[in-house]
Amino acid sequence: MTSTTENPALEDLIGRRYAHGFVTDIESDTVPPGLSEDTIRFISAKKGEPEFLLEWRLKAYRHWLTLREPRWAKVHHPPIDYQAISYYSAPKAPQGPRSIDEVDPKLLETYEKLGIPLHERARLAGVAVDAVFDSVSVTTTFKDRLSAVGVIFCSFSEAVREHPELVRKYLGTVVPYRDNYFAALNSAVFTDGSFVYIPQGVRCPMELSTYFRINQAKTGQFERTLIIAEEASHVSYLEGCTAPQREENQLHAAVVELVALRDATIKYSTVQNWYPGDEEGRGGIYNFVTKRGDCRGANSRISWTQVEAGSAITWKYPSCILRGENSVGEFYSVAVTNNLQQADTGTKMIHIGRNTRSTIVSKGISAGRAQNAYRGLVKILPTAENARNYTQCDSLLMGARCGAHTFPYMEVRNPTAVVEHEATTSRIGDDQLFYCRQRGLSTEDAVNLIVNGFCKQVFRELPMEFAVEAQNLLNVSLEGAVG
Amino acid sequence: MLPERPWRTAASLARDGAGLPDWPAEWRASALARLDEAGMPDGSDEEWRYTSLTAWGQRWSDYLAAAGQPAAITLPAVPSMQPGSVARPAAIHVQVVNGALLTQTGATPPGLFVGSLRQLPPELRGRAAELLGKSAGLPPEQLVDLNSALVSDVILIGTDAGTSFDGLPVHIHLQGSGSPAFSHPRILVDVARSSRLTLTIEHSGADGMLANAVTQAWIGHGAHLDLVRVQSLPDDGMLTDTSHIDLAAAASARITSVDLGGLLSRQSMTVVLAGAGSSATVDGLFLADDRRHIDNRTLLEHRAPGTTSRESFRGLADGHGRGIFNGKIIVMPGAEGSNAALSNRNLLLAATAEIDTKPELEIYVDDVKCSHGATTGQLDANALFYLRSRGLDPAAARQVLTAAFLREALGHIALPELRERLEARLQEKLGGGVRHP
Amino acid sequence: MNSPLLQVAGLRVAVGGKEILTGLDLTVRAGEVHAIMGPNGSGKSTLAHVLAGREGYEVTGGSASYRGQDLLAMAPEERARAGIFLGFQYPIEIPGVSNVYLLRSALNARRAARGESEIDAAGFLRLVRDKARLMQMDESFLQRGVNEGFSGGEKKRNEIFQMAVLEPTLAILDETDSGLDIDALKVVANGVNSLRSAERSFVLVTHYQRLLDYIRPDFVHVLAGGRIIRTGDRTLALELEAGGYDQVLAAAAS
Repeated sequence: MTSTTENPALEDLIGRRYAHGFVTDIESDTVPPGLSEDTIRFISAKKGEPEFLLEWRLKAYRHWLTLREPRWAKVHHPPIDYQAISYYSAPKAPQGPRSIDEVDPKLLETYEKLGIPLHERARLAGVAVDAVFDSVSVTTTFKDRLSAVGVIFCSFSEAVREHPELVRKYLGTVVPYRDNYFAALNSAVFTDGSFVYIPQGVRCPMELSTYFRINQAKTGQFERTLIIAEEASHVSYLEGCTAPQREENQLHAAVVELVALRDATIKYSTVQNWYPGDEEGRGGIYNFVTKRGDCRGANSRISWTQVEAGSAITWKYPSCILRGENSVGEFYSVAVTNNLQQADTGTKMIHIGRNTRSTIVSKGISAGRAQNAYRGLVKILPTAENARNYTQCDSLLMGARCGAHTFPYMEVRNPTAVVEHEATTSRIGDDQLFYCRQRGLSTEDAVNLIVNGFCKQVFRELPMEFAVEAQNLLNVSLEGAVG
Repeated sequence: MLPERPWRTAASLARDGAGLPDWPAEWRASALARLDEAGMPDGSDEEWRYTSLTAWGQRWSDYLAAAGQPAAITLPAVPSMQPGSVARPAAIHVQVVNGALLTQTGATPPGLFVGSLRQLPPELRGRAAELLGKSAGLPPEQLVDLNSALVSDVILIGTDAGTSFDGLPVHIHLQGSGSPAFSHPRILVDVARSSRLTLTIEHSGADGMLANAVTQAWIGHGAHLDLVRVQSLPDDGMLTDTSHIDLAAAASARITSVDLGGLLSRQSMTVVLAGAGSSATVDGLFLADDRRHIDNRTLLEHRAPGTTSRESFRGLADGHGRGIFNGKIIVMPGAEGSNAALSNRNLLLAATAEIDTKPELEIYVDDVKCSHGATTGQLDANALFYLRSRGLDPAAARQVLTAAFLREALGHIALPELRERLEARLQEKLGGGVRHP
Repeated sequence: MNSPLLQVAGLRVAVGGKEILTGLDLTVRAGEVHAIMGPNGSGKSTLAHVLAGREGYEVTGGSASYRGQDLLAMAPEERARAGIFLGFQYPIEIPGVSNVYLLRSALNARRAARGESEIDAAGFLRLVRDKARLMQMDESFLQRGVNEGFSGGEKKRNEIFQMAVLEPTLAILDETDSGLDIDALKVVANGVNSLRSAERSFVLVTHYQRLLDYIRPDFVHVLAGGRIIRTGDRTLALELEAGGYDQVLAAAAS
């Protein structure tokens, strides 16, 4: 009898090799490890920031000093020495990225190797990329074409320089620096990230994407992304992330803020493939991220789709505050953990406005000795007349030593609301495997097929380019598939 | 305000009045020491996310302030306490007031022991000591320690191996009396190998009562326990109630929990499927109307292969009530081939009421089938319309559907009279009290 | 006489220590249709599963060869690629995997095993559309998850549709007629009949004679107590229908 645990094909599938573990040999400006107000002043000065931003950073830092690391997540790690991390590292280059021709060829080569060619001609038409390397943005493509319709897509640093009024108006309004430990840390030391502004009535003509790369050892990456969708605008944004293979853990503590005004739609997709550590759990990224969207206007919509495959530890809960009447929040997630990876991920849907709706679909796959937890909060406030939530949360276990956990919180304070939650946990059915094999599929193909089917509801929410990448991440080829 | 380490103050008072000469002082001392260390649970404890013990502490403080004064004994009537003939009793009733056994009716046949630790026949002392040892051996929990530290009596129910008492239910009536009063009922249940027992535990009392009850049960190999827990406190009664039920191989338990009264009621029930092939069915119902705060926390822990659990809770919140369900299933490594299903359905009927639900799964083996589902919403509009089309007015239609929704949880009660009594109570409460938006 | 396609000799099979097949003999030649009938619990489904390679069955004796190869040594997918198709009594649901995707994967796995290239998208689409029409299946079925939310009848029809696309050499249909109304039964039978050829053989496992009104078998076997106790032609099925299993069993016992 073939048990799933002894199945070589299955182990192949889940034991996929990390393909992005290389290091780029490039000269960098890296500050010595350590965190103090001086570090923050250094970062702020390096970026030529206005006074208000430095003040904000310092307030965040002082608040952070009063906090303790959160302990409630189902993850375990040795204490993090925040003084041993370097908070700024940038490839040596003339002040700030300008055009693609000024970018160090080694960096271009790096992104080429990662499958993200930055030359506009080589890019897939229809996707603009902001490439963030350690602490800084290297370049942003297709800016001219976007600015022709009024869309601002640039690095966060550039936004601070060129559009300080927008940054000041929106920064920290969705995720205040007081929000949590890692958000406070990020607010104090964030170095770069992407900034998106879609003017009223504009449907962004192309997909926007940011590709995050950690390269330098002993650094942390603290990026901050802010997306503002003005009334009746529409944008689809994607992010991808990778890092070299190293024995030490590295910290990634990002903050993402989304603001959707009346009738606006933001679709935010992530394929997270940070280095997960080796099979003994050595190394890997600690991915402690705060992502939140604010559906401020009526009829606005924010949709999060994530495929979480990497990182030693993932701690993230992309959330929606459904303030506007009829606003819609969605969360579609696939989280895969293997070896000693740990994931505690899910979402929060806070229903404030009338007729607000939210949908949560979470698929967790756990293998090896990994622990995979879904944690989600659905909160219906008394003002949220006729609010609706539906949550579907499924876990697939592969192997006898992994864990899959589900922690949903539902807090309902309006008697016209309907909140529904369903969850299942099981392994791949022997009968399903046999059925596929009887039709001639190898066990490996059968497992791929079943796992893919399990994740389908989420994959189909991804933009095409990312759907393919996501499926490849599960080592499944849909090449030439009909339908 | 409570004094610092109120358990120390309370323990000195409790010891004075306890009159339990052979009470294991060591046990009490270690419980007190753990309390000194851990204190009382607060909001930072995830298990207490939705229930604050502030008002509970205030009442305790009132009690300590008034202690030493003779409490006015005002006993509520014990419902359905009609013993059968001495020769063939239909049931055994035990009345426990403020934690101590007061009366007992119905003779116990051979093979069954029901009584207080204080009146233990010499031949049962060995078994009682063993049970107390098991009880003390459980992982510490603050409210259990508090009970151990302040307990004034222990009620023991035990069967002999191979006996069956399906036709002779044991009813324990736990009553709090006096204003203020703080009692610490403790019940130990030992269902020996291949025996069967039907047990009900009803919490009631008089205004101003505060109780911290603990029930611990061990179900031996192939044995079965039918347990019904009823909380029908007075409107301002407060109860914290911890139970721990442990099942050996091939053992089974059928548990129904019903919360109908009180101002603050917090139940924490742990069912451990420790033996291979053991199974548990847990049904629950809570009616958080008026100003009631009813918190049900359950944990079903699968520790052995081939274990099965099925849990279903139905809840309602109305008025300024708040109903909480936090049900966790854990499947530990080694519990291959386990099955667990949990369902929680709630009705939220008023804009000032709240339902918080948190059904959790923690699964550590792959060969399992586990599921949970939870809903919070309203009555089915189609069903309401259907009843109205048959001539019922809206209020009556709602009442019929609400009662039917909740009654589902009573279906596994094996004692017809008890089930009917509870259904009638439910009907009465819904008929009078439920308001609708 | 051509050499047998399937030769089962003295096959003994146990499940959980209990012997279900107790020395079963069966010979199927190319182009033949065999019906295996028997009361509940006689071992019919066990035979179908063992021939397809389902895990959990312990072969304690005897042999089974397929085209002269040791069938029992082959993995389920090897048997499938060699042309054995099992129509499941209870077809399995695979959520999120479209019918057409499974079929294409299955078809290409067989082609690869025979050293053939993958079928091109257009040719495949033409093929599945033709076969869907044959089974009177709506094309929307193709894109739905494998058996996901199908009714009992739809699942059975889907099995025969898959068989039609995969064009097996030996089709074993396990109680394909159970749970079908008369119209669905006709569609299924029509699908089977249209695939009958000199190269293709069928083993129909069934409890009732009804299916055999529409698919005329060359041989009818009665399986009881884990062995074939009688073999005859179509009239044996009618005899069973008229007299019930008891009569045939009693006659065999005497």
